[in-house]
Amino acid sequence: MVCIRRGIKAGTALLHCGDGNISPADFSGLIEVEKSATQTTSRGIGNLIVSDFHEEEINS
Amino acid sequence: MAKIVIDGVEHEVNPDNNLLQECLSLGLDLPYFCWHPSMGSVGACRQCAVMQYRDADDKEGMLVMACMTPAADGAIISIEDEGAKSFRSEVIESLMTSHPHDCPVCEEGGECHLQDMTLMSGHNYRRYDKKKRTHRNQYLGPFVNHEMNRCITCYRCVRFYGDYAGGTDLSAQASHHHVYFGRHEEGVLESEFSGNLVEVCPTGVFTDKAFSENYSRKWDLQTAPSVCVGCSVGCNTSPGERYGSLRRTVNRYNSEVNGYFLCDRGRFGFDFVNNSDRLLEPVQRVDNTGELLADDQVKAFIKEFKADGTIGIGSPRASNESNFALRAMVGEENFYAGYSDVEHESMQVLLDLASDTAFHSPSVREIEMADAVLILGEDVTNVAPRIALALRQSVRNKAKDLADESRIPQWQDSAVRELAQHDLSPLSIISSAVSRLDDVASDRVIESLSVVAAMGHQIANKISASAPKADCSAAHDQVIEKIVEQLKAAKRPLIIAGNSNGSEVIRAAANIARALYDFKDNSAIDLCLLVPEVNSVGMSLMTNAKNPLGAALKKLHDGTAKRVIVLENDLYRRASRAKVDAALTAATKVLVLDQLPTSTTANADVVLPATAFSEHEATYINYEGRAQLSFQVHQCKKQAQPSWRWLCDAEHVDDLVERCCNEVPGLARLREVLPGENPFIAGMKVPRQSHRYSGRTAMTANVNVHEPKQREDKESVMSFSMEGMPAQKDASVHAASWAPKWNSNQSISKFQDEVNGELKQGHPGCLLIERKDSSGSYFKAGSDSIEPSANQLRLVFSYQIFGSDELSARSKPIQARMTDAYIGLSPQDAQKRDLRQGDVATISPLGSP
Repeated sequence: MVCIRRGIKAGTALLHCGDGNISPADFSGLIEVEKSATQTTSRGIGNLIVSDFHEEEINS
Repeated sequence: MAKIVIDGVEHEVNPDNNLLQECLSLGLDLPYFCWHPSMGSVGACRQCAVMQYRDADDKEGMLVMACMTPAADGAIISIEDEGAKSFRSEVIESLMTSHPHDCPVCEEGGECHLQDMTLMSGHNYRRYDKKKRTHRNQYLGPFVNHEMNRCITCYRCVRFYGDYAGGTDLSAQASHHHVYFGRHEEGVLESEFSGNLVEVCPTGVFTDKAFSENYSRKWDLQTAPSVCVGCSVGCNTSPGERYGSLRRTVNRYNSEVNGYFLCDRGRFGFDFVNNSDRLLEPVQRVDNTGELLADDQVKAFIKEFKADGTIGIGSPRASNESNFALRAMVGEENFYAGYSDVEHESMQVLLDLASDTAFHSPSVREIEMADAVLILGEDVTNVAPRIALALRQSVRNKAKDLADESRIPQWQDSAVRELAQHDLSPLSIISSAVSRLDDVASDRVIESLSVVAAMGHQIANKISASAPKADCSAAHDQVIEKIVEQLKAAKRPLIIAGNSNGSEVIRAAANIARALYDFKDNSAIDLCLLVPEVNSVGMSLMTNAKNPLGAALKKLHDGTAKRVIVLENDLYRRASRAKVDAALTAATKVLVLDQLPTSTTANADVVLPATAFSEHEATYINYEGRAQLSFQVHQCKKQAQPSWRWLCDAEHVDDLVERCCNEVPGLARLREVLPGENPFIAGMKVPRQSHRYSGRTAMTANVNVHEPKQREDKESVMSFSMEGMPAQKDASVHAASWAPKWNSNQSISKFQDEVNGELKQGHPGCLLIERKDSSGSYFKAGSDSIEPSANQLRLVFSYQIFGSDELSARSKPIQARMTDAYIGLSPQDAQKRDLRQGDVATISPLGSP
């Protein structure tokens, strides 16, 4: 899922691997990100409070 | 020391403390509510009133609040004075005016500080017969229940949540007789330390929601001293079991590590032990179905794995004993690291630095003493939450200095905060994304990881010209200068980094600390290097530097090794799927030991069930190299047993610890964490069950009306029953604190040598890593060799308190707070790709992982 945050340096992507669905070992250094046709997720990012606490809501 | 007289008896006390704290340190019973040992005094509840006399001739005296009165030399006070007793009784009668008489159904009952203090104060009859004040309760999320009618307005909850832990969504609202402690609207408590409200609240306003769903009284829980396995801090915990399931975890005081508080992952992440998916029987895979194995078949398999051509892969989440048993079985040369190769490389750097005389790895308590902190590239709140809480206390050291200058005692919490306002000790954070500590940061720089490292090297160079320069843009010159001056001026500077994203940032952090070491005439500098898992350090100390996981997978793939034993580890989280698939497919036999099914167990030929942290005795080594002992709380389910027991013939944990000491140089002092040979009264064991444990004769009556014999524990100094003598001499076997008249967690003061001090005959663990006599040299500043093109992004891994840890992520309460995997992007990068908040995205790696 995409989580847009003002507090991330442009040019940097922050990857949280969830509970084992994505292995961090499958990635290193550089990545490309694009919109996926699939739009189904189980939990979403609604619970993401930690680290986002001091940011305003971004709905871009 | 000062001399004071309490009820006619002279005592020596610390004049820097208040009378209440000193009375408790002396073991005297004086009731209180609003005061808390780690939060100081505010004088809100008026419950600790004592009579103070001007001199020996003064017979009248004057009522003072003990928590607000210094323990000054010559003070004469009385706790037992009738006037003081009567005042305390009336105060509690007033506090209890609207408190419901629901103790029999209140979950705090039996460990309620309010119950204890009511009894101690002598209030036993309610004269008030009017309507009680009532409140609506709020939904506060999956961790904490709310029952406001029980509130006695001591303000401890908001003082902890806001003042101590930095939360902003719990506050005191309304006024007069209607003060309300809650959120502005219903919703999940946002602080990652919200679970501490359960222990901080002296009554039952905030209770443990997870425990509530499977409740048992405190005295009916079987407990033992344990260590949290949620991260590398190694907080001390006391898990409680009843009817075969683990019910809750509460804090266990350790003066050097967690003190009085846990994070929410540590408190609520235990539930994976009760998971219905637990592996409980040895299984062999035959044609993609599981077939149960008999004992002799298991023995035959293990024998097969003892032959040449077997390699072992260790685990940073398994105990020292299990890692050692695997290493002993396959041989040191065939024992491989159980984490990613990137982590292995950074762990080698980290271990080398850990023994360098220029550095000191600070305990959590020492972190609280830092007066200037620099965090380089790490999200401390998510990797090691309890340290983030300690950092929030460290920034208050400026306030304490100001208080000293103004002659305000440091325990005058409200006055000290009022004096300092927002004046904080410096805390600078340089990393790639926002963090939860930003609100207390004096300087905040968000940069790419390579710039973070370069800035670190540049800071080191500015402190000492001997440190190598880095290629760093002038854009950050000003903040670099400021940080340099802050670190140089500090009495106790602290540098924090970690291995979440490789070793370059660790090198930069080490250069800063080394530069400070040079600048400060060779006095060791606090360098805190964080690792993510409970025994990352222990496993690393056993692993040859030339044995990364990648080498093990290669050996299996090319046929050099035929068989592999994987210890409590999901390899798919550690190496690329393609490499793990290739290795496991090429191996002729794969044996996996674990607690829960994973992608790795799904590819094993044989799976052996391993016990979880609460089901076995074990040692773990935390981020600072502190070894700690965790006892078995309850018995294993079915056939699960400690991994080491499947792999070797050792009878006892102590035997393996002894062998570790002799065979692994870095663990030579591990035996020091074991309880002494004869610490117990009359040779009796320490009971895991309280003397009030109930239902023993009836709890299995549905199976057989005859009470079964209590299981004997031949391995440990503890017993699986209430027989024995609760240990008061050796704190390492002190699971649940209780003292006459003190049933709540506040009874811990009876076990401390002084309030906030070590436990009597304390056992805060054993620091294993010996410092060398000489210091090393500076690292060369690295350069960023990867330059992204227009569509590419530099990747940084984000660790999350709820979800990144493999085992706690299988715990139901934690799952309620988890997110999906996500990719965090800046608004500019998102717009460029036409991505919106919550969109599902595909990420493609560039280059081989």
